[in-house]
Amino acid sequence: MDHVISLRNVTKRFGSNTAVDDVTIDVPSGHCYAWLGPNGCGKTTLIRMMLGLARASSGQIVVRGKQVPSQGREALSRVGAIVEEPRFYPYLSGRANLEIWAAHQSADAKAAIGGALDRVGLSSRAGDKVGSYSLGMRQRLGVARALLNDPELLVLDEPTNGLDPAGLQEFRGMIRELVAEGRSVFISSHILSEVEKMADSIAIIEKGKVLASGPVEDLIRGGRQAVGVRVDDPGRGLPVLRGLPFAREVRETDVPGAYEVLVEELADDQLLATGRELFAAGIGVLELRPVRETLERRFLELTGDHAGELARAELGDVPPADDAPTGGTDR
Amino acid sequence: MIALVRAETRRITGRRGSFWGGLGFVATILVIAVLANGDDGADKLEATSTIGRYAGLLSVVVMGALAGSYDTANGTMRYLVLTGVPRWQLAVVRLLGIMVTTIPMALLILVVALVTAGGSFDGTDVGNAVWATFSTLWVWGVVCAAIGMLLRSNGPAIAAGVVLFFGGSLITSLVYEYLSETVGNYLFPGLFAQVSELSDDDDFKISLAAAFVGLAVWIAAIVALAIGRVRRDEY
Repeated sequence: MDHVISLRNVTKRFGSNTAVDDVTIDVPSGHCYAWLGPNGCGKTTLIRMMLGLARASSGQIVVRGKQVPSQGREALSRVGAIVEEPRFYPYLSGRANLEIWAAHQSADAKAAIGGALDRVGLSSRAGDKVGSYSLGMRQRLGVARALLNDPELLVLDEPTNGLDPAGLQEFRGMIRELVAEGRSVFISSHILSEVEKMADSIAIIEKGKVLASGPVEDLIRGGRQAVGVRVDDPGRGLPVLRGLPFAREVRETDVPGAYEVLVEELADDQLLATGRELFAAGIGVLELRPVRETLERRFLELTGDHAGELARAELGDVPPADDAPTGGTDR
Repeated sequence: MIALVRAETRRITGRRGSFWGGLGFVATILVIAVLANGDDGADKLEATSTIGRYAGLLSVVVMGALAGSYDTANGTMRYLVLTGVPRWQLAVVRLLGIMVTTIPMALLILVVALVTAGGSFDGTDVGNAVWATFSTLWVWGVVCAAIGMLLRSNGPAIAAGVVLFFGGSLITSLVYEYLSETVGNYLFPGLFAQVSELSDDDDFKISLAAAFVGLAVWIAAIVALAIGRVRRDEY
């Protein structure tokens, strides 16, 4: 399989602080690959190194088969990007901004402006000054700018920031369209549910280190899978559950009479067998369901308490600690 | 390269506060200068163009510093770098851009000075006024754009440009007065004054040719430092 990005032992240090720590990943061509981690974990730093905006302290970066930064111009000639946030000249219109960037690229880029604005749904506001745009509109204009050079690879750093629910849905659709056109998309995000819906593969990062990577399905499958069951007679039910041939472990839950029978790989047969054994023993089954971890649960499990706090805060549950330690900087 | 300079020109003139504000400031000073000066002919031409170019210098300090620092301060520099245009070229384009965008200001100064001079003046008077005006605006525009690239932040870049003009003149005067007239003449403000006036008289302790070379060395050094920083920086 061709790799549009290959990183080998990439490390970035700021003084004694290691922002990106010995990262090795391969991003397959024609896929949407997500770089997932809490804020401050080194996502943007890695992207900046990939794009030749910052130098790696050590390691090798290859983009589209070319070394970065030594062959940066060739490597990045068909790469579009949003890094950290889409920045523009606020005193110029959206179209004028794109014309300025196209002037730095090619005649083809100038010809692509109209199509790019149409694609992101900004044609009707293209004449307005960017200073009057919302964050979501600037994100969309950022994508339009990234599309000007007909990119083979799009690198989008937190691209869904500022998008409303309708915008999010449109954006997801656009990413899938771009991938269907054969382009590769590399996204960084801390919004787990978005990544789960958009990405084919992900790398989970914390404190600059890759904790796990691979296709989304494989990562979820690597997490906890179980038969969830609630019985009317826990005293007699527990031995039956422990005796199931596929049970790796039986865990009690907080709900009286409810258990999780952990299995290697969950299948419908195991649900049926669990019900059958309990019925055969004369035990009433109040609830029987498959338990599969979401990517969010898997992410929290892998990244531990600190990332969990941040992720829950992003979901609106608890505020993140201001002095929370981080493995690096996204600035 | 022409497309890049055109884009840079669009960016500089789009910052209306500094561009149109600068032109307005110069126009206002010129009106006052014309009304207050009772001379005519070559004297008035020289006086009006001199006042106009020093007013223009202050405007160009702001425009130049912004041209140099704006993209880095605004976060747009990384997207310019991502276009694949070599960083040195991005830096050079800013210098050319500020030179192009000061042309309207120079023309304003010269047209007002010529139209209101009255009396008699010759081609040499006009030539001197043209040279002094363009050299002032271009030298300070380029130097302040380079300072902007070095400092990467709008406010400090503008402040440094203004301090370089006023502070540099003061330091040059002190060196000239108390240390060495020749050393004072080799400092940037001394060289700039001699070159912009095309003066070879006894007030200056070095030849005009040496002053040209000295000024070129100063500008080249400041520009080289700025381009070096643009090439080296992380965005």
